[in-house]
Amino acid sequence: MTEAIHPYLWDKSGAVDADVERLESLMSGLRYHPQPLAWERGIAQPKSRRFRVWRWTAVVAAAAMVLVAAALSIQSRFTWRPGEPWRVSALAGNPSIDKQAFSGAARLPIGQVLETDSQSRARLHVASLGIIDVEPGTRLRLVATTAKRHGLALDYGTISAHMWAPPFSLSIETESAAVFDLGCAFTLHAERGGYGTVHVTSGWIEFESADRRVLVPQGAEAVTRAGIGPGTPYFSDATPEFKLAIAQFDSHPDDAGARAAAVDRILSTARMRDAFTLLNLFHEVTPDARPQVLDRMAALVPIPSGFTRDDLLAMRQPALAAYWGAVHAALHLDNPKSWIMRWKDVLGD
Amino acid sequence: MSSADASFAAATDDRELVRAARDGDRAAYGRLYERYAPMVHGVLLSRIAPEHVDDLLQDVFLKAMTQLRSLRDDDHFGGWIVAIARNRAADHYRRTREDATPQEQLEAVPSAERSSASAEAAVVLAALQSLPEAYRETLTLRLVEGMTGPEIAALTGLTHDSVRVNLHRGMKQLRERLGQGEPAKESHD
Repeated sequence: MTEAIHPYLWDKSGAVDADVERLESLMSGLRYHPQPLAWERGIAQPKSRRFRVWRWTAVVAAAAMVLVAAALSIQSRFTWRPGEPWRVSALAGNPSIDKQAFSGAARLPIGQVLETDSQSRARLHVASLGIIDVEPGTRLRLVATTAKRHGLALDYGTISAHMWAPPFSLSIETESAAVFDLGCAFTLHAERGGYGTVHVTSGWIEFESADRRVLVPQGAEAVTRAGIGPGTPYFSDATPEFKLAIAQFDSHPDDAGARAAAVDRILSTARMRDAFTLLNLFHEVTPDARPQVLDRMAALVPIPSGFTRDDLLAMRQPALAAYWGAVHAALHLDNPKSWIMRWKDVLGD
Repeated sequence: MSSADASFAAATDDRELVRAARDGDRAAYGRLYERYAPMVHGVLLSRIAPEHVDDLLQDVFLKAMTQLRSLRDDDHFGGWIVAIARNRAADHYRRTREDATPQEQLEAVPSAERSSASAEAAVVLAALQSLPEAYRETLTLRLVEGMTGPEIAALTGLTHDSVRVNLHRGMKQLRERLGQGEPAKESHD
Protein backbone atom coordinates (compact mmCIF):
# COMPACT_ATOMS: atom_id res chain seq x y z
CA MET A 1 0.00 0.00 0.00
CA THR A 2 1.35 3.42 -0.98
CA GLU A 3 1.71 5.97 1.80
CA ALA A 4 -0.01 9.29 1.27
CA ILE A 5 2.65 11.93 1.04
CA HIS A 6 2.75 15.61 0.25
CA PRO A 7 4.06 15.98 -3.32
CA TYR A 8 6.51 18.66 -2.22
CA LEU A 9 8.04 16.33 0.36
CA TRP A 10 8.31 13.60 -2.27
CA ASP A 11 9.81 15.39 -5.26
CA LYS A 12 9.46 19.14 -4.62
CA SER A 13 6.50 19.31 -6.99
CA GLY A 14 3.12 20.87 -6.37
CA ALA A 15 2.39 23.52 -3.80
CA VAL A 16 5.26 24.26 -1.47
CA ASP A 17 4.87 22.73 1.98
CA ALA A 18 5.90 25.69 4.10
CA ASP A 19 6.92 23.49 6.99
CA VAL A 20 9.23 21.34 4.86
CA GLU A 21 10.61 24.38 3.06
CA ARG A 22 11.45 26.02 6.39
CA LEU A 23 13.31 22.90 7.54
CA GLU A 24 15.19 22.70 4.23
CA SER A 25 16.27 26.30 4.59
CA LEU A 26 17.23 25.83 8.23
CA MET A 27 19.31 22.72 7.52
CA SER A 28 20.96 23.94 4.32
CA GLY A 29 24.05 25.05 6.22
CA LEU A 30 24.81 21.41 7.02
CA ARG A 31 24.54 20.31 3.40
CA TYR A 32 27.45 18.64 1.62
CA HIS A 33 29.89 21.11 0.06
CA PRO A 34 31.94 19.56 -2.74
CA GLN A 35 35.52 18.92 -1.74
CA PRO A 36 38.21 16.95 -3.53
CA LEU A 37 39.03 13.44 -2.41
CA ALA A 38 42.20 13.53 -0.29
CA TRP A 39 44.10 10.85 -2.20
CA GLU A 40 47.24 11.54 -0.22
CA ARG A 41 45.63 10.14 2.92
CA GLY A 42 45.62 6.84 1.03
CA ILE A 43 46.05 3.40 2.40
CA ALA A 44 48.85 3.93 4.83
CA GLN A 45 46.93 6.03 7.28
CA PRO A 46 43.33 4.81 7.53
CA LYS A 47 43.72 3.83 11.14
CA SER A 48 45.32 7.08 12.27
CA ARG A 49 42.12 8.56 13.61
CA ARG A 50 41.01 5.40 15.34
CA PHE A 51 42.13 6.81 18.63
CA ARG A 52 41.48 10.05 20.25
CA VAL A 53 45.12 10.81 20.82
CA TRP A 54 44.23 13.78 22.92
CA ARG A 55 42.47 11.53 25.40
CA TRP A 56 45.55 9.42 25.85
CA THR A 57 47.61 12.56 26.15
CA ALA A 58 45.26 13.91 28.79
CA VAL A 59 45.46 10.68 30.76
CA VAL A 60 49.26 10.70 30.68
CA ALA A 61 49.39 14.38 31.61
CA ALA A 62 47.16 13.74 34.59
CA ALA A 63 49.23 10.85 35.89
CA ALA A 64 51.39 11.32 38.93
CA MET A 65 55.07 12.16 38.47
CA VAL A 66 56.05 8.76 39.73
CA LEU A 67 54.55 7.25 36.57
CA VAL A 68 56.50 9.47 34.20
CA ALA A 69 59.56 7.26 34.13
CA ALA A 70 57.43 4.21 33.43
CA ALA A 71 55.50 6.08 30.76
CA LEU A 72 58.73 7.12 29.06
CA SER A 73 59.95 3.58 29.21
CA ILE A 74 56.77 2.32 27.63
CA GLN A 75 56.94 5.09 25.06
CA SER A 76 60.38 3.98 23.96
CA ARG A 77 59.06 0.45 23.59
CA PHE A 78 56.25 1.59 21.32
CA THR A 79 58.33 3.81 19.06
CA TRP A 80 60.03 2.28 16.09
CA ARG A 81 62.29 3.70 13.40
CA PRO A 82 60.18 3.74 10.23
CA GLY A 83 61.27 1.22 7.65
CA GLU A 84 63.65 -0.65 9.93
CA PRO A 85 63.69 -4.38 9.06
CA TRP A 86 62.22 -6.76 11.63
CA ARG A 87 64.32 -9.31 13.45
CA VAL A 88 63.49 -12.90 12.63
CA SER A 89 64.94 -16.14 13.94
CA ALA A 90 64.64 -19.72 12.80
CA LEU A 91 62.95 -21.96 15.40
CA ALA A 92 63.20 -25.14 13.34
CA GLY A 93 64.50 -26.16 9.92
CA ASN A 94 65.53 -23.52 7.38
CA PRO A 95 62.95 -20.85 6.71
CA SER A 96 63.68 -18.45 3.83
CA ILE A 97 63.54 -14.73 3.12
CA ASP A 98 62.99 -13.98 -0.55
CA LYS A 99 63.93 -17.58 -1.36
CA GLN A 100 67.22 -17.36 0.57
CA ALA A 101 67.24 -20.01 3.31
CA PHE A 102 68.64 -19.01 6.69
CA SER A 103 69.29 -20.48 10.10
CA GLY A 104 69.79 -18.56 13.32
CA ALA A 105 68.94 -14.86 13.07
CA ALA A 106 68.03 -12.74 10.03
CA ARG A 107 66.25 -9.52 9.09
CA LEU A 108 62.98 -9.08 7.19
CA PRO A 109 62.85 -5.78 5.24
CA ILE A 110 59.68 -4.21 3.89
CA GLY A 111 58.41 -5.95 0.77
CA GLN A 112 60.30 -9.19 1.29
CA VAL A 113 58.70 -12.59 1.74
CA LEU A 114 59.24 -14.88 4.71
CA GLU A 115 58.43 -18.50 3.93
CA THR A 116 58.45 -21.69 5.97
CA ASP A 117 58.27 -25.14 4.40
CA SER A 118 56.69 -28.18 5.98
CA GLN A 119 59.69 -28.68 8.29
CA SER A 120 60.53 -25.14 9.35
CA ARG A 121 59.26 -22.57 11.83
CA ALA A 122 60.33 -18.99 12.52
CA ARG A 123 59.80 -16.22 15.07
CA LEU A 124 59.24 -12.63 13.97
CA HIS A 125 59.80 -9.72 16.33
CA VAL A 126 57.06 -7.17 15.63
CA ALA A 127 59.15 -4.01 15.95
CA SER A 128 59.53 -3.96 19.75
CA LEU A 129 55.89 -4.71 20.47
CA GLY A 130 55.60 -8.48 20.46
CA ILE A 131 56.33 -11.67 18.60
CA ILE A 132 54.74 -13.72 15.86
CA ASP A 133 55.49 -17.41 15.56
CA VAL A 134 55.33 -18.57 11.96
CA GLU A 135 54.21 -22.17 11.65
CA PRO A 136 55.25 -24.64 8.91
CA GLY A 137 53.82 -24.10 5.44
CA THR A 138 53.38 -20.33 5.73
CA ARG A 139 54.17 -17.39 3.45
CA LEU A 140 53.92 -13.77 4.56
CA ARG A 141 55.26 -10.33 3.61
CA LEU A 142 56.16 -7.27 5.63
CA VAL A 143 54.17 -4.48 3.97
CA ALA A 144 54.65 -1.56 6.38
CA THR A 145 56.56 -0.63 9.50
CA THR A 146 56.36 2.93 10.75
CA ALA A 147 56.85 4.61 14.12
CA LYS A 148 53.55 3.27 15.45
CA ARG A 149 51.88 1.16 12.77
CA HIS A 150 52.99 -2.13 11.33
CA GLY A 151 51.48 -4.31 8.64
CA LEU A 152 51.89 -7.83 7.33
CA ALA A 153 50.23 -9.68 4.48
CA LEU A 154 49.62 -13.36 5.15
CA ASP A 155 49.35 -15.15 1.79
CA TYR A 156 48.68 -18.52 3.41
CA GLY A 157 49.61 -20.59 6.44
CA THR A 158 49.35 -20.14 10.19
CA ILE A 159 50.80 -17.57 12.56
CA SER A 160 50.42 -16.98 16.31
CA ALA A 161 50.83 -13.40 17.53
CA HIS A 162 51.49 -12.15 21.05
CA MET A 163 51.20 -8.37 21.15
CA TRP A 164 51.39 -5.93 24.02
CA ALA A 165 50.78 -2.61 22.35
CA PRO A 166 48.09 0.01 21.85
CA PRO A 167 45.17 -1.08 19.67
CA PHE A 168 45.72 -1.11 15.92
CA SER A 169 49.51 -1.18 16.17
CA LEU A 170 49.55 -4.30 14.00
CA SER A 171 47.40 -5.22 11.00
CA ILE A 172 47.56 -8.47 9.06
CA GLU A 173 45.88 -8.60 5.68
CA THR A 174 44.65 -11.88 4.25
CA GLU A 175 42.93 -12.42 0.94
CA SER A 176 39.42 -11.91 2.30
CA ALA A 177 39.82 -9.95 5.55
CA ALA A 178 42.24 -8.08 7.74
CA VAL A 179 43.00 -8.60 11.43
CA PHE A 180 43.75 -5.59 13.62
CA ASP A 181 45.18 -6.37 17.02
CA LEU A 182 43.72 -4.59 20.02
CA GLY A 183 46.61 -5.58 22.31
CA CYS A 184 46.18 -9.31 22.41
CA ALA A 185 47.22 -12.81 21.46
CA PHE A 186 45.69 -14.73 18.60
CA THR A 187 46.24 -17.42 15.99
CA LEU A 188 45.45 -16.63 12.37
CA HIS A 189 45.17 -19.21 9.64
CA ALA A 190 44.71 -18.33 5.97
CA GLU A 191 44.33 -20.48 2.89
CA ARG A 192 44.77 -19.73 -0.79
CA GLY A 193 41.37 -18.74 -2.13
CA GLY A 194 40.33 -16.56 0.78
CA TYR A 195 39.17 -18.93 3.53
CA GLY A 196 40.64 -18.17 6.93
CA THR A 197 40.12 -18.41 10.68
CA VAL A 198 41.18 -16.40 13.67
CA HIS A 199 41.18 -17.66 17.27
CA VAL A 200 41.78 -15.16 20.06
CA THR A 201 43.54 -16.34 23.22
CA SER A 202 43.86 -12.99 25.00
CA GLY A 203 42.21 -9.60 24.61
CA TRP A 204 40.34 -8.69 21.44
CA ILE A 205 40.95 -8.42 17.73
CA GLU A 206 39.02 -6.60 15.05
CA PHE A 207 38.33 -8.64 11.96
CA GLU A 208 37.22 -6.63 8.96
CA SER A 209 36.69 -6.37 5.24
CA ALA A 210 35.43 -3.32 3.38
CA ASP A 211 31.83 -3.64 4.45
CA ARG A 212 31.94 -5.96 7.44
CA ARG A 213 33.59 -5.59 10.80
CA VAL A 214 33.41 -7.86 13.83
CA LEU A 215 35.13 -7.76 17.20
CA VAL A 216 36.37 -11.11 18.48
CA PRO A 217 37.11 -11.49 22.20
CA GLN A 218 39.31 -13.87 24.13
CA GLY A 219 38.12 -17.47 23.82
CA ALA A 220 36.25 -16.80 20.60
CA GLU A 221 36.94 -17.32 16.94
CA ALA A 222 35.63 -16.27 13.56
CA VAL A 223 35.87 -17.46 9.99
CA THR A 224 36.42 -15.39 6.86
CA ARG A 225 35.36 -16.50 3.40
CA ALA A 226 36.20 -15.35 -0.12
CA GLY A 227 33.76 -12.73 -1.36
CA ILE A 228 31.98 -12.59 2.00
CA GLY A 229 34.53 -11.48 4.56
CA PRO A 230 34.46 -12.05 8.32
CA GLY A 231 31.63 -14.16 9.67
CA THR A 232 29.78 -14.11 12.96
CA PRO A 233 32.15 -14.61 15.94
CA TYR A 234 31.44 -17.43 18.38
CA PHE A 235 33.09 -18.90 21.45
CA SER A 236 35.33 -21.87 20.78
CA ASP A 237 33.54 -23.95 23.42
CA ALA A 238 30.17 -23.61 21.70
CA THR A 239 28.43 -26.85 20.73
CA PRO A 240 29.21 -28.39 17.31
CA GLU A 241 25.55 -27.88 16.32
CA PHE A 242 25.78 -24.17 17.12
CA LYS A 243 29.03 -23.76 15.21
CA LEU A 244 27.62 -25.61 12.20
CA ALA A 245 24.54 -23.39 12.17
CA ILE A 246 26.73 -20.28 12.31
CA ALA A 247 28.75 -21.57 9.35
CA GLN A 248 25.55 -22.21 7.39
CA PHE A 249 24.29 -18.70 8.16
CA ASP A 250 27.55 -17.02 7.19
CA SER A 251 28.05 -19.08 4.04
CA HIS A 252 24.73 -18.10 2.46
CA PRO A 253 24.45 -14.32 2.57
CA ASP A 254 22.10 -14.29 -0.42
CA ASP A 255 19.94 -17.33 0.40
CA ALA A 256 17.11 -16.17 2.64
CA GLY A 257 15.73 -19.69 3.12
CA ALA A 258 19.04 -21.18 4.19
CA ARG A 259 19.66 -18.24 6.50
CA ALA A 260 16.24 -18.55 8.14
CA ALA A 261 16.78 -22.27 8.78
CA ALA A 262 20.25 -21.54 10.17
CA VAL A 263 18.87 -18.85 12.49
CA ASP A 264 16.34 -21.34 13.87
CA ARG A 265 19.13 -23.79 14.67
CA ILE A 266 21.37 -21.11 16.11
CA LEU A 267 18.66 -19.91 18.48
CA SER A 268 17.64 -23.40 19.56
CA THR A 269 21.21 -24.40 20.42
CA ALA A 270 22.42 -21.13 21.96
CA ARG A 271 23.73 -21.15 25.52
CA MET A 272 23.98 -18.18 27.87
CA ARG A 273 27.56 -17.55 26.72
CA ASP A 274 26.38 -17.46 23.11
CA ALA A 275 24.49 -14.22 23.75
CA PHE A 276 27.58 -12.49 22.37
CA THR A 277 27.13 -14.31 19.08
CA LEU A 278 23.40 -13.56 19.04
CA LEU A 279 24.12 -9.86 19.53
CA ASN A 280 26.28 -9.94 16.41
CA LEU A 281 23.65 -11.96 14.61
CA PHE A 282 21.00 -9.40 15.54
CA HIS A 283 22.76 -6.88 13.31
CA GLU A 284 23.08 -9.31 10.42
CA VAL A 285 19.59 -10.78 10.08
CA THR A 286 16.84 -9.13 8.07
CA PRO A 287 14.52 -6.81 10.01
CA ASP A 288 11.72 -9.39 10.03
CA ALA A 289 13.99 -11.91 11.79
CA ARG A 290 15.20 -9.47 14.43
CA PRO A 291 12.29 -10.04 16.90
CA GLN A 292 13.01 -13.76 16.93
CA VAL A 293 16.71 -13.20 17.64
CA LEU A 294 16.05 -10.47 20.17
CA ASP A 295 13.57 -12.56 22.16
CA ARG A 296 16.02 -15.43 22.50
CA MET A 297 18.84 -13.03 23.32
CA ALA A 298 16.76 -11.23 25.93
CA ALA A 299 15.95 -14.58 27.56
CA LEU A 300 19.69 -15.06 28.04
CA VAL A 301 20.63 -11.47 28.93
CA PRO A 302 17.75 -9.16 29.93
CA ILE A 303 17.30 -5.85 28.14
CA PRO A 304 18.79 -3.08 30.33
CA SER A 305 16.33 -0.99 32.31
CA GLY A 306 15.48 2.27 30.64
CA PHE A 307 15.26 0.66 27.22
CA THR A 308 12.56 -1.35 25.53
CA ARG A 309 12.29 -4.15 23.04
CA ASP A 310 11.01 -1.60 20.52
CA ASP A 311 14.10 0.59 21.05
CA LEU A 312 16.29 -2.34 20.07
CA LEU A 313 14.12 -3.43 17.15
CA ALA A 314 14.30 0.15 15.84
CA MET A 315 18.11 -0.17 16.10
CA ARG A 316 18.36 2.95 18.24
CA GLN A 317 22.02 3.56 18.96
CA PRO A 318 21.78 4.29 22.73
CA ALA A 319 19.74 1.12 23.28
CA LEU A 320 22.17 -0.96 21.24
CA ALA A 321 25.13 0.49 23.14
CA ALA A 322 23.45 -0.24 26.48
CA TYR A 323 22.63 -3.79 25.47
CA TRP A 324 26.19 -4.30 24.20
CA GLY A 325 27.35 -3.24 27.68
CA ALA A 326 24.87 -5.57 29.38
CA VAL A 327 26.06 -8.57 27.36
CA HIS A 328 29.68 -7.72 28.12
CA ALA A 329 28.93 -7.48 31.82
CA ALA A 330 26.90 -10.70 31.90
CA LEU A 331 29.64 -12.64 30.11
CA HIS A 332 32.45 -10.92 32.06
CA LEU A 333 34.15 -9.76 28.87
CA ASP A 334 36.92 -7.26 29.44
CA ASN A 335 37.06 -3.87 27.83
CA PRO A 336 38.68 -3.97 24.38
CA LYS A 337 40.61 -0.84 25.34
CA SER A 338 42.20 -2.34 28.45
CA TRP A 339 45.13 -3.86 26.55
CA ILE A 340 47.68 -2.59 29.03
CA MET A 341 46.35 -4.97 31.71
CA ARG A 342 47.03 -8.03 29.57
CA TRP A 343 50.79 -8.03 29.79
CA LYS A 344 50.79 -11.32 31.70
CA ASP A 345 48.89 -13.08 28.93
CA VAL A 346 51.15 -11.96 26.14
CA LEU A 347 54.52 -11.47 27.79
CA GLY A 348 54.24 -14.03 30.55
CA ASP A 349 55.66 -16.83 28.49
CA MET B 1 13.10 16.05 -15.48
CA SER B 2 15.08 18.03 -12.91
CA SER B 3 18.68 19.01 -13.56
CA ALA B 4 19.74 16.45 -10.98
CA ASP B 5 17.77 13.75 -12.79
CA ALA B 6 19.38 14.81 -16.04
CA SER B 7 22.83 14.53 -14.58
CA PHE B 8 22.01 11.07 -13.29
CA ALA B 9 20.71 10.03 -16.67
CA ALA B 10 23.80 11.37 -18.39
CA ALA B 11 26.25 9.85 -15.97
CA THR B 12 28.33 6.91 -17.05
CA ASP B 13 27.04 3.66 -15.76
CA ASP B 14 28.29 2.77 -12.29
CA ARG B 15 29.40 -0.63 -13.44
CA GLU B 16 31.87 0.79 -15.94
CA LEU B 17 33.20 3.27 -13.43
CA VAL B 18 33.66 0.57 -10.79
CA ARG B 19 35.51 -1.66 -13.24
CA ALA B 20 37.78 1.15 -14.37
CA ALA B 21 38.43 2.23 -10.78
CA ARG B 22 39.28 -1.33 -9.83
CA ASP B 23 41.89 -1.27 -12.60
CA GLY B 24 43.47 1.80 -11.04
CA ASP B 25 41.66 4.57 -12.92
CA ARG B 26 41.54 7.39 -10.38
CA ALA B 27 39.40 9.59 -12.61
CA ALA B 28 36.73 6.90 -12.66
CA TYR B 29 36.81 6.60 -8.89
CA GLY B 30 36.65 10.38 -8.71
CA ARG B 31 33.41 10.26 -10.71
CA LEU B 32 31.96 7.74 -8.27
CA TYR B 33 33.04 9.97 -5.42
CA GLU B 34 31.37 13.03 -6.95
CA ARG B 35 28.19 11.08 -7.54
CA TYR B 36 27.88 9.43 -4.15
CA ALA B 37 29.57 11.88 -1.77
CA PRO B 38 26.37 13.85 -1.03
CA MET B 39 24.52 10.63 -0.18
CA VAL B 40 27.32 9.34 2.05
CA HIS B 41 27.49 12.77 3.68
CA GLY B 42 23.80 12.54 4.50
CA VAL B 43 24.06 9.00 5.82
CA LEU B 44 26.92 10.02 8.11
CA LEU B 45 25.18 13.20 9.21
CA SER B 46 22.13 11.18 10.22
CA ARG B 47 24.31 9.38 12.77
CA ILE B 48 27.20 11.52 13.99
CA ALA B 49 28.05 15.09 14.93
CA PRO B 50 28.48 17.46 11.94
CA GLU B 51 32.07 18.37 12.83
CA HIS B 52 33.18 14.77 12.23
CA VAL B 53 31.31 14.16 9.01
CA ASP B 54 33.76 15.56 6.44
CA ASP B 55 36.62 13.60 7.91
CA LEU B 56 34.69 10.34 7.95
CA LEU B 57 33.42 11.00 4.44
CA GLN B 58 37.00 10.96 3.18
CA ASP B 59 37.71 7.92 5.26
CA VAL B 60 34.77 6.00 3.80
CA PHE B 61 35.77 6.64 0.19
CA LEU B 62 39.46 5.95 0.72
CA LYS B 63 38.63 2.75 2.55
CA ALA B 64 36.24 1.70 -0.19
CA MET B 65 38.85 2.43 -2.85
CA THR B 66 41.22 -0.09 -1.31
CA GLN B 67 38.47 -2.70 -1.04
CA LEU B 68 36.81 -2.48 -4.46
CA ARG B 69 37.83 -6.06 -5.11
CA SER B 70 35.38 -7.21 -2.47
CA LEU B 71 32.39 -5.52 -4.15
CA ARG B 72 30.49 -8.51 -5.43
CA ASP B 73 27.99 -6.74 -7.68
CA ASP B 74 29.37 -3.81 -9.66
CA ASP B 75 25.86 -2.45 -10.18
CA HIS B 76 25.39 -1.96 -6.44
CA PHE B 77 28.15 0.48 -5.59
CA GLY B 78 25.59 2.79 -3.93
CA GLY B 79 24.30 0.21 -1.47
CA TRP B 80 27.83 -1.00 -0.80
CA ILE B 81 29.27 2.43 -0.04
CA VAL B 82 26.30 3.16 2.22
CA ALA B 83 27.00 -0.04 4.15
CA ILE B 84 30.60 1.07 4.62
CA ALA B 85 29.43 4.51 5.74
CA ARG B 86 27.03 3.00 8.30
CA ASN B 87 29.79 0.78 9.64
CA ARG B 88 32.18 3.69 9.87
CA ALA B 89 29.60 5.79 11.68
CA ALA B 90 28.80 2.99 14.12
CA ASP B 91 32.50 2.47 14.68
CA HIS B 92 32.99 6.18 15.30
CA TYR B 93 30.08 6.22 17.74
CA ARG B 94 31.39 3.20 19.60
CA ARG B 95 34.90 4.56 19.88
CA THR B 96 34.11 8.11 20.77
CA ARG B 97 30.93 7.46 22.75
CA GLU B 98 29.70 10.86 21.66
CA ASP B 99 28.94 12.71 24.76
CA ALA B 100 25.17 12.71 24.59
CA THR B 101 22.51 10.74 22.79
CA PRO B 102 20.53 12.63 20.14
CA GLN B 103 17.57 12.74 22.52
CA GLU B 104 19.76 14.16 25.29
CA GLN B 105 21.18 16.72 22.88
CA LEU B 106 17.67 17.66 21.89
CA GLU B 107 16.59 18.08 25.49
CA ALA B 108 19.77 19.95 26.42
CA VAL B 109 18.99 22.96 24.26
CA PRO B 110 16.85 25.33 26.36
CA SER B 111 13.66 26.44 24.70
CA ALA B 112 14.76 30.06 24.85
CA GLU B 113 17.90 29.29 22.86
CA ARG B 114 16.08 27.42 20.15
CA SER B 115 15.28 30.66 18.39
CA SER B 116 18.66 31.32 16.76
CA ALA B 117 19.04 29.64 13.38
CA SER B 118 22.13 27.62 14.28
CA ALA B 119 20.68 26.45 17.59
CA GLU B 120 17.45 25.61 15.84
CA ALA B 121 19.32 23.62 13.19
CA ALA B 122 21.10 21.72 15.98
CA VAL B 123 17.76 20.91 17.56
CA VAL B 124 16.33 19.67 14.26
CA LEU B 125 19.44 17.58 13.60
CA ALA B 126 19.25 16.01 17.05
CA ALA B 127 15.58 15.23 16.43
CA LEU B 128 16.47 13.71 13.04
CA GLN B 129 19.19 11.57 14.61
CA SER B 130 16.79 10.29 17.24
CA LEU B 131 14.42 8.85 14.63
CA PRO B 132 14.43 5.14 13.75
CA GLU B 133 17.28 4.28 11.39
CA ALA B 134 15.36 4.02 8.11
CA TYR B 135 13.54 7.30 8.63
CA ARG B 136 16.46 9.42 9.81
CA GLU B 137 18.64 8.49 6.85
CA THR B 138 16.04 9.09 4.15
CA LEU B 139 14.78 12.26 5.77
CA THR B 140 18.30 13.67 6.17
CA LEU B 141 18.94 13.10 2.47
CA ARG B 142 15.72 14.93 1.69
CA LEU B 143 15.85 17.85 4.14
CA VAL B 144 19.58 18.43 4.47
CA GLU B 145 21.08 17.21 1.21
CA GLY B 146 18.13 18.50 -0.80
CA MET B 147 17.54 15.30 -2.78
CA THR B 148 14.13 14.35 -4.09
CA GLY B 149 12.51 11.01 -3.29
CA PRO B 150 13.32 9.55 -6.74
CA GLU B 151 16.95 10.66 -6.44
CA ILE B 152 17.21 9.03 -3.02
CA ALA B 153 15.77 5.81 -4.42
CA ALA B 154 18.18 5.85 -7.37
CA LEU B 155 21.23 6.37 -5.19
CA THR B 156 20.42 4.09 -2.29
CA GLY B 157 18.81 1.27 -4.24
CA LEU B 158 15.63 1.50 -2.15
CA THR B 159 12.28 1.21 -3.93
CA HIS B 160 10.18 4.32 -4.48
CA ASP B 161 7.59 2.93 -2.09
CA SER B 162 10.15 2.44 0.67
CA VAL B 163 11.48 5.96 0.26
CA ARG B 164 7.94 7.32 0.19
CA VAL B 165 7.07 5.51 3.43
CA ASN B 166 10.29 6.58 5.11
CA LEU B 167 9.76 10.22 4.18
CA HIS B 168 6.12 10.29 5.17
CA ARG B 169 6.44 8.49 8.50
CA GLY B 170 9.76 10.11 9.28
CA MET B 171 8.35 13.58 8.71
CA LYS B 172 5.40 12.75 10.94
CA GLN B 173 7.67 11.61 13.75
CA LEU B 174 10.00 14.56 13.25
CA ARG B 175 7.12 16.97 13.63
CA GLU B 176 6.04 15.19 16.81
CA ARG B 177 9.51 15.38 18.28
CA LEU B 178 9.82 19.02 17.42
CA GLY B 179 6.48 19.61 19.06
CA GLN B 180 4.84 20.79 15.86
CA GLY B 181 2.27 18.05 15.50
CA GLU B 182 0.71 17.28 12.15
CA PRO B 183 -0.19 20.04 9.71
CA ALA B 184 -3.88 20.76 9.59
CA LYS B 185 -4.21 19.60 6.04
CA GLU B 186 -2.11 17.31 3.90
CA SER B 187 -2.49 16.68 0.21
CA HIS B 188 -2.04 13.22 -1.23
CA ASP B 189 -0.57 11.85 -4.42
